[in-house]
Amino acid sequence: MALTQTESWYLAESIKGETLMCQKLANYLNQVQDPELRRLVLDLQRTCRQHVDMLTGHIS
Amino acid sequence: MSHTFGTGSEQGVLTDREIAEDILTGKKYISNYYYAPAVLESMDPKLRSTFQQVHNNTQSQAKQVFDYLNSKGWYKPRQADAQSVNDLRNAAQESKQILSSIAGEISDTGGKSRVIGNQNIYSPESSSNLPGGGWQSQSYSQPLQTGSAWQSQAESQPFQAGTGWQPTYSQTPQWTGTQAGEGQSGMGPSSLAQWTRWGGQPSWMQSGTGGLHGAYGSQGVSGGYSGYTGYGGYGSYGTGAVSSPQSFQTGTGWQPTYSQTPQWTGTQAGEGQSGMGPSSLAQWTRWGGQPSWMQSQPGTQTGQWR
Repeated sequence: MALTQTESWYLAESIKGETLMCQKLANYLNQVQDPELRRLVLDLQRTCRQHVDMLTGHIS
Repeated sequence: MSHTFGTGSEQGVLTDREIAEDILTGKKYISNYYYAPAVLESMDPKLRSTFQQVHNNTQSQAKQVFDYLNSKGWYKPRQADAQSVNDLRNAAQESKQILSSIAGEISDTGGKSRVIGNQNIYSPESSSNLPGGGWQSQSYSQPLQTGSAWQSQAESQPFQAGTGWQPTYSQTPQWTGTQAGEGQSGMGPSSLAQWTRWGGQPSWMQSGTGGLHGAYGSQGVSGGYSGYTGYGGYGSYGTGAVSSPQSFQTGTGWQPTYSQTPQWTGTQAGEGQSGMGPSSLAQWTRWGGQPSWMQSQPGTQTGQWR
């Protein structure tokens, strides 16, 4: 099904947002001291990448 | 370079607390402003499902980050004070009383609506008097439909959910989505706070129960804005220029049908997102133009959102 303009806009914004979040998390991994937070950030980063894959999968 | 876990930070270096707070802020933002409306604005079921899944994940992640902050004592939401809790109880009680009075009026009228007023609010002279917008009118005997928009239909019809465009038996498509912003579709104002933006309270809130108020309208013929008069008048508030029963009405949720009654089926400003149509006229350009029924003459069978 062809994307509507609204869907396309939200997809683009979401992908950009998730990508930016991934970049921030990667940066934070170099700064985090608490091992617990480090594990959390790693987990978030992994999910973030999954989200980008899921969202980009709708772009033909 | 030294790091601290929670308090204080050197210039340009974020503490763990600041990092966690920033992540939480980011998750909240993308969840509220991207995924929540994206779910409601998606027409493609698969895309909608993806947005929903990503939205759920994001909220779950936000909870994890909150739990981390909370466990460190860095994010402790304040308890509501006694006065606030008391005010809340009063508000809840007031809402129950309102709902109770509505139920009583429904039973009092035996489900038969009463219509007052002869003003043809479709006329250019009177349409400007309509404040706010969004209160569904109904001039025929209909059970109050809950869980959906304030719908009015001249004949009994099953509620059609799922999309913003809802054709009735008369084949007239009806946009039931939201206006700009947030909110749920098809539910009228999504909060009490929004009512002020809707042009104030509906009349039934300003008067005793059983009174007939707030019915802007004619006798329910040719699109009169007759309130939910059988119930003491769910005032039919509307905005926008309305020139004829069949003409398209801009900027509000009032949707004329080819039969009789205008129908508000969406929300007003603010939140939400519903359905799959444009949430405002301004969005139409992004949606690729007008629906076909707007380009046709009244009475013709169109109404498929394409």
